[in-house]
Amino acid sequence: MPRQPDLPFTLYVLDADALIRLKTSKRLAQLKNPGRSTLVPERVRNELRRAPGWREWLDTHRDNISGFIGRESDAYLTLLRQEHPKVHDGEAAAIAIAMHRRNATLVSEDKAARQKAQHRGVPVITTQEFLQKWWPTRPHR
Amino acid sequence: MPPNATDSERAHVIPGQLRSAREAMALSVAEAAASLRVSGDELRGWESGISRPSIEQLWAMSELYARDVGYSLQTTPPPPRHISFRLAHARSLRDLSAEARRALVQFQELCRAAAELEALLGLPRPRLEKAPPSLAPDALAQRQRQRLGLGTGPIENLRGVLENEGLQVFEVPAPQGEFAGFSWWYGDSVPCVLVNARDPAGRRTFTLAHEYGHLLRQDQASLCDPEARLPEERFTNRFAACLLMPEHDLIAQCDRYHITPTTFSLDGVARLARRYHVSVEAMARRLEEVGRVPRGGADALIRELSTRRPYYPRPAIPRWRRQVGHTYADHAIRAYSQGLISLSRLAQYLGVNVSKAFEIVGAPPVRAAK
Repeated sequence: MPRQPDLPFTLYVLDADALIRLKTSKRLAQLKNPGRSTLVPERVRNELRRAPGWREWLDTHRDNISGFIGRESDAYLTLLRQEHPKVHDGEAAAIAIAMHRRNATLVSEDKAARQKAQHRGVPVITTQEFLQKWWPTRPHR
Repeated sequence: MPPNATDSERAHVIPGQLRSAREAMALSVAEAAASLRVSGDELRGWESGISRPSIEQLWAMSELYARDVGYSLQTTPPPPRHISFRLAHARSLRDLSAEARRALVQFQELCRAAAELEALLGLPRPRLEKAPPSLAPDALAQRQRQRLGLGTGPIENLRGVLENEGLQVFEVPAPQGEFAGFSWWYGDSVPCVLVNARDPAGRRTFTLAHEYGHLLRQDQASLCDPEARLPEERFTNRFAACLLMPEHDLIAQCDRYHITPTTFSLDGVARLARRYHVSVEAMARRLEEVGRVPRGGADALIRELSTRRPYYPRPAIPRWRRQVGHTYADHAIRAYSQGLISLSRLAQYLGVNVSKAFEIVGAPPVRAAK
């Protein structure tokens, strides 16, 4: 699917590391801003559900959680099969979704995931960069 | 997943991996198929490569077999084909409880993680020497003490010493009394030891020394309970006793504490056990071996001990670190900080949830731009 870089809308696909960093920065509650869109893969949700303090947030943000659509599951399995570098379950799901959704950007700190995503033409940013895009003017206190 | 999942939604699993994962849990095809809500023929088809499971069925299998999702998709060294059951009550995996089998699988996954970390960080291969078959247990223990530079007294941190040698030691909780330890060479190259985390500290130390003996002798994968004192375990039990409680030093301590065949007491034996970081039972038996407790005296001491209230000191280090050990934990954290593994993978390696893993690595919170 050809990308349309000039469109103002961007879908940010987050992995577990990015979400935890946002929570530590007390920015998690504000992810549901209108006009912005974030997405958490179901596999990432499953990883977070085991951690204390996440269940409530995940339950109230069901709209942000997505399973695989179409060929995403195939891409996910292909990523899991590959070695050197190896990506984990949640990161593989996040890359697979970002690969196939319109104007999606992966938010991840994981070197292997970033490398794999970039290799497949998916824009990648760190959590820090994500925060700068999201709240460019308001500093975190 | 509906049975009519398209071909692209079906997982290209490696049939041998699926079969070995099921067998490691000692599940029959019928049992596994029933849990997965598929027919036995369907599961047999996946395991022989005739057909492929859907993605949801793959996830269900990874839960049932207690394996990482990637396990069925990549070739890994197989679980031990033949396990030597050195237990009084069990002769096969099926004789163990489901929890004990799960603990063994958890251990195998930790061994796999250790091998992956070793490759990622470019760590040197372990240099465990093979014990000459003619060497007696006492001589082997003496030789190991010299080689490891342990001196002649108590070993303060046997686990740390062996981990420095490249041994992977994991403490995984399993039901008490089912087994105390397990040892094998993962992928024929990484020596790994499992110690039952539910056993008291002194017993865990003895189990570790015992399993180290099996590895030195290049025995096949062994599931042991040293307390059962089986005849086939005589060599490794004796090796462990000599390694942990060397006779010369022990006799000197007995003289110091006035422990003789006529003046021994449970309190004196317990004091010595604390000094050598072993259980009172192991110390009583060793004292009987070196003649400081009369024949039958060890059994009497153990009977007396059973009437006392057990005392378990609070562990000084967190459970997750005790489980995986300092060396492995440090390697995993190093791999994360170098960007070689993700936070989720780190959590999996350390056996904690992702939030806890984040807390462990102490990553600073991110800041928005000013």
